[in-house]
Amino acid sequence: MTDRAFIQLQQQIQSNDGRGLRSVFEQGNRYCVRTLIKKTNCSLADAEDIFMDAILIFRENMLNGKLKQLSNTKTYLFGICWNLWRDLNYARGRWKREQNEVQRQLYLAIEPETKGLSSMEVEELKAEAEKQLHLVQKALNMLNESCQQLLKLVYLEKRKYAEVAEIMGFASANVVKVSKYRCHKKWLTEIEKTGNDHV
Amino acid sequence: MFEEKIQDYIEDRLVGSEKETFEKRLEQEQELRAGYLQELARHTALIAQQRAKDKEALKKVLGQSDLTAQMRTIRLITHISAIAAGILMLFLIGYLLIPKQQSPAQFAMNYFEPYPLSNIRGESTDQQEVMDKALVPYQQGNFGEALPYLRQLQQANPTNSQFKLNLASGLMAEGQPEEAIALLKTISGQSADAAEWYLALAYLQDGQVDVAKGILQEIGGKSHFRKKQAMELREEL
Repeated sequence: MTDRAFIQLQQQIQSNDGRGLRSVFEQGNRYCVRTLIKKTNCSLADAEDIFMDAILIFRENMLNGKLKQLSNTKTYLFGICWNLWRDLNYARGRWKREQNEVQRQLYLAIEPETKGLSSMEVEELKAEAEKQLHLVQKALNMLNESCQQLLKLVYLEKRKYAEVAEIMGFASANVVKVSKYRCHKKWLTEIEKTGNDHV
Repeated sequence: MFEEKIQDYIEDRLVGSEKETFEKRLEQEQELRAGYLQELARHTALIAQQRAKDKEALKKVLGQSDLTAQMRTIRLITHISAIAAGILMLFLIGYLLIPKQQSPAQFAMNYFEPYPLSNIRGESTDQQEVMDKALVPYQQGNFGEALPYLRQLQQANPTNSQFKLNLASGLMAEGQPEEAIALLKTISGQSADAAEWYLALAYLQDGQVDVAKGILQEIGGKSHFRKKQAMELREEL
């Protein structure tokens, strides 16, 4: 991919222009799904699902600056698919097959974090994360718009503080850091409140 | 103050010596580790929720894939074959379920579940490749095929408890408890609980019922993630 094409794709993804991801999808879909089935003997449904997850990770990597250049979209996407397939299999080895999409995403989010944790800690982490599943999003929605946007940019899109400062109009990266800490505190309070309401 | 550090670590914002120092503290300080796990749980839960939502939206935007009809036919044939194999399996299970006197090894295998393979993403590429080669046969239950790779990993990392557990589990699945016992006895630290459970099963598989009972008794008497199963198995024995 030429530098120009890469910058155009980056801009499309950053501005939520659907054409960007559609072109990535079309370039990688058939190759990734076929190769996954061939290499891992997984089902077609699994391969398609993993490919869709890979598109999400591709988008995240583009937004958080991990992806700085791209020589071959297909092979880059397949690398993500391969890691996802592996993580999902390790997770299914521990906990059997997932029950729904959120649980699948939870498996995929937990698995890369298990390095260095004991079996008991991994179980605790999963149990705690499952307990928090319905609380975290509700609590986030209770925050003011600015806090919501700040935490989403930092936690979900993993943007650099300097970039967040630019997007949200903060004076510096340090201001972002302090504001994020305050919003995080509010978020924790809301999680606790939401949790108590459920009890 | 350490709450901020935990967040920075989870968000991958610590680098160099700062990251190393934090990781050392994480290993040594129980309170910090507990706080880290709780924060990590919140983060992963939020990421999972958001990704599930984003995926649904993405599916709407991108639509279904246009894979060839040939692939869909292959899928149909695979499903039919799976159903046929399932029916055969049911007959086989029915036959196997006819009550028989169970040997200690059978008791052990009733409770045995292969230890989940360790995800070693981020380790050296060579080791990752070896683990990948072990993963498919291991998940499919072809432990004999996975064993050489598991042995290779364990020998390259003789002190790594996870690799010891993986190899021991593969050996037990292949009916080789003696070597598994020797390995499991050397495991300490964070994997000691899992090793203790597998050691009890390995002794049982090896016919050393009294030793197995002793270990099960110990597991049943403390806070252990297999406490319930250990007590049940001891009762059955």
